Amino acid sequence: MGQLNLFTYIPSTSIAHDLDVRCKLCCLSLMSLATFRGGPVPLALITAMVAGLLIPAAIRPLTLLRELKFFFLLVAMVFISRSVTTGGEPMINLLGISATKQGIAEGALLSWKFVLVMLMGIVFARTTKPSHVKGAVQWFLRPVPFIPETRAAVMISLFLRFMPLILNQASEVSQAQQARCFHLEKNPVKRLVRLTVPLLKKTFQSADRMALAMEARSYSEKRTDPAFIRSGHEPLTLALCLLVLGLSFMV
Amino acid sequence: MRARPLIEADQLCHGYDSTGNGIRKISFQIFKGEFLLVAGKNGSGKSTLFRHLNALLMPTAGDLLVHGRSIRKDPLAARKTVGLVFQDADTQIVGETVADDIAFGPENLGLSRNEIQERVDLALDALGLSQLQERNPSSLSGGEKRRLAIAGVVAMDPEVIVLDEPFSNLDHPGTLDLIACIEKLHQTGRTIVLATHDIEKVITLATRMIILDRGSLVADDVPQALLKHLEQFGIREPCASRLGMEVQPWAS
Repeated sequence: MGQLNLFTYIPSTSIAHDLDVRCKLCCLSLMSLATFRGGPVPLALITAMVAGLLIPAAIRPLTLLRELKFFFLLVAMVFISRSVTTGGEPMINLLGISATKQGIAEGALLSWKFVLVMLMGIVFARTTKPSHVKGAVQWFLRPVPFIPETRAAVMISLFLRFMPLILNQASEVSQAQQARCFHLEKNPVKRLVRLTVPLLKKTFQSADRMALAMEARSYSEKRTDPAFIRSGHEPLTLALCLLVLGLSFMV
Repeated sequence: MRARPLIEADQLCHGYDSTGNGIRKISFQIFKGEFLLVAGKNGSGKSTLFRHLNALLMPTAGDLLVHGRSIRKDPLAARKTVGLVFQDADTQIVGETVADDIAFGPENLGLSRNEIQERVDLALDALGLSQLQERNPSSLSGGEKRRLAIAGVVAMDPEVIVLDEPFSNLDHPGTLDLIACIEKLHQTGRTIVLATHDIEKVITLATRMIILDRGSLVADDVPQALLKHLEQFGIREPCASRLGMEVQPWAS
């Protein structure tokens, strides 16, 4: 069974859930830009907004820490790297390596930004149906020439659908090989080949069967267009995001 | 006088290169409201035959008519009339939620959003999936996935539902649920065509049975008449029949 994670849509009726997905995508872009552009004041404002949105997204802090442990490890490395490579007034000295006051401040700010962008992504994924994302992508791509927007949208949909299936198959192949003591094999290239060849074979076979099943259900590019539902909060939300973006350029 | 058949196979042949498998000169008719059981051991040609019913494969000789029209001339009409449920539910499910997957077929037919929603609601209800409509299909059990695959086909409102080995890899409760759903679909007027090599589960529901062996149709009769001839074609005779008793339904 495919593992569900933090990026899985959870149905609810919060403001973030009810916003038109196109508006949500625009807001996400504006807020990401504001995060990377802004200083502590806009970041504090964005943090408060994201925290407010995380509550209805039903995420426990411990779950967040557990699921994102590797991400937090990366953030910690960024912080340490910034602290010791930025010049300035030394603050901590350990084994001859000193972290500067300016480095720690810069590292903390950068880490804060990374965490915020990740949290915004989680809020978006938890509050948005993948099919709505697909619809929005189709809508945004429509004016772009030479891009078949319906096909692109279906590709996104299939990617989202297939990921847990591929992970599941990889786990099955790996377990089947471990059951025959393949974990004792020391050559990493051999291990990789033995894992990827059957996995690719299974994936291509699944893709073949999927294409056949889609054809059986009369798939064509002349499909019913996606529906977008507006909650009425979109202009205000967009204005707020623009305000935060403006603030990030000023403060 | 009997009504015009929904589906008519006339000397239907399909040969795969080099393997020798396929189907050979199959002729039969399927009428509205029938529950046709297609039995045969692995490699007997059941799946190949089914893919013709849905116009996924074209005959290499002979013809297959759906509502009197050749599938060669109008494959889309065949797909609208005949809904095919594959053996592997995992690769048939394309939506990110249960409701989205059911909507996939009606969206392909270009229906309005209101009509799509109506059909999704009806299919959810018919297959007992209403409580799971927002669930990610990856998180469903095997039986639920199989019911979702059928719901996706039911939402396209086909006259005939073709199920290829629907009970494979299902546990006992999942099998019972699925039998009840199939029975309900038949009772609401759908024509059912079902392939299995384990006929005991549905033989009491079937109104007719055909047996395929090495690509050829070797028997076509009411199920009771064929019970004693099953094992010569590699199909297990129901236990009750072996003991000289009447075969009991698995679910009602």
